[in-house]
Amino acid sequence: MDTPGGKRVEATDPGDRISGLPDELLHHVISFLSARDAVRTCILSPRWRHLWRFAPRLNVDAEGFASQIRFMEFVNALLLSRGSIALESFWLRANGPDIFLENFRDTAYLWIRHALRSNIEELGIVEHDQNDNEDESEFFQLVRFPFTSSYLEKLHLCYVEIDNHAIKKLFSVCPALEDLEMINCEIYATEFSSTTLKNLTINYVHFPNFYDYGIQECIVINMPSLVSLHIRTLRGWSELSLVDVQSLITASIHLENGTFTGACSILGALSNLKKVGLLLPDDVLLDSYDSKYLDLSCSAVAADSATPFSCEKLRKVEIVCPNGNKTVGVLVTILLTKLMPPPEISIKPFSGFSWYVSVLLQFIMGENPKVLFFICCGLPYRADNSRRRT
Amino acid sequence: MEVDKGKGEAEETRKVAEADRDTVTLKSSDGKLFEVSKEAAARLSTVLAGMIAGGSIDDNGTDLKQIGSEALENVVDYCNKHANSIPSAALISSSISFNTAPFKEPEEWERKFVDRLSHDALFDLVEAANFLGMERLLDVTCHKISEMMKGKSPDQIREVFNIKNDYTKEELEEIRQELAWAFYDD
Repeated sequence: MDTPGGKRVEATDPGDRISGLPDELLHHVISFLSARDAVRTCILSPRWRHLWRFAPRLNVDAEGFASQIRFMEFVNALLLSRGSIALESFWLRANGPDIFLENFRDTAYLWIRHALRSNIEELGIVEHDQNDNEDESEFFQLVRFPFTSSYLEKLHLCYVEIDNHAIKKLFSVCPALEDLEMINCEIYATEFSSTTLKNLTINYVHFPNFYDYGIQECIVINMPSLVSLHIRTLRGWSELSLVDVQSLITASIHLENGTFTGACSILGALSNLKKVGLLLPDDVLLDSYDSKYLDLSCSAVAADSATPFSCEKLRKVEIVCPNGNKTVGVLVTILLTKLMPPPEISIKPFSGFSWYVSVLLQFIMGENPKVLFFICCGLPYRADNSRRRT
Repeated sequence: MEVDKGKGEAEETRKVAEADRDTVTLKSSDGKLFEVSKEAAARLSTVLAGMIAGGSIDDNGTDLKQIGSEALENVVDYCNKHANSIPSAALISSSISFNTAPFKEPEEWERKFVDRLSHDALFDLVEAANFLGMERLLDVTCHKISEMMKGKSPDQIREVFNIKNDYTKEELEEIRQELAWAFYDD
């Protein structure tokens, strides 16, 4: 199709719909590509030559790079070539083989600062998958959170190490921050206080060996503007204290060492929930394939909550479980004796979840049938952990 | 002003109480009429929201001269599907499988919605979404287009989209030199 020296066609080919789109839509399309694919669109035709420079979002992705040096060379050149053109979001992902941000931490800090100076609203940092790492874990360290931004609204961290000092600094130097997501991070912090944060997600599901650190502390969340809170499998943390969560609408909480009493106090703190919420303390109940563990858990529940828990708003509890599950009777007894006033209970056959979830409880609050409180039973994390119990 | 409506749909009754009519009628460039939920239209399209707020909605069909009937049908279909999608189900499934996606990834039904479109219908819909200021639909359609480019060589992309490579050999050489850092491992 190459016509060297041929005359340029002014109007685009009628069959070429994409090149006929306005620039801003093409910038939008390019923004969904990885940074390297985005730059490479320049070669399609003269119409595309400079479009990549104006893409409002950059996904710097190490996938497909032969080496760390090539990757670093690429990102340095990319940021220099873009210059100071404004950006909305910047994602940095070390998902290439043998590419770890922690190996060139200072350079990665420079890239992130460069992006923050382009007034990004969203920043994502994804270190190399630590489950992939046979030797030592190499979490990307945010030492003292060495950045500042008045524009940053969303921060996503994955396989990043962050401590109390850095968390505190983050909330003070990023006054516009509304969303914080920490997936599989190593968080040496217990206090989360922010007046601006609206959405907080902490998820440890694939965390490899948190037990080794033996952290046993109460995690405190004090966030009056928080609208949604999702916490999943905080291993080692047995207690969660919700200080001021008056704006909360959605919550899902899954504590590794949660107790029925603990769950009830969280439920108390969540009593202002306006809409939908989920709560998942996993050892309240039970795993049907290991009946011994299950009985232990049930008696723990019964002993743990000597006094009935009062919950005026609770209307209905839905139990979703496989047919013939023996725990249901025990469960119904516990719920009817421990919850005041006793809620309506309905039992539904279970389908569609993977093997590890055996019983699911949905607590329905308020006037409209909204799920508020959701107990996911079984061991919703790695299979090798569950097998240890048997 | 309370109007008693005898319409069936139970979940619609709440909305009906809030306004005289719960739908708006849109007219395509070729004169076809489509009804769409007023709430969904106002929520999903900044342009329709402005028209509804400004009272420039015509009960006999608001003219949208820039949009053909096929694209408008898709727009209306998208709005109605969006209005009916159940957020609690989405919430439960998302709490069970976390992901670290950078964008609000298209949901399953949105993916299916754009996947069934022909090449031309997809581009008509992008243009309609852009015209109507439908941010989410624009995201979903542009995301679909980007997926058609992902993992493909420049030649393959040109073929998919019928892009004519009217660079001269000299120009191509110049670009490859200027941006050599982006073309290693080729």
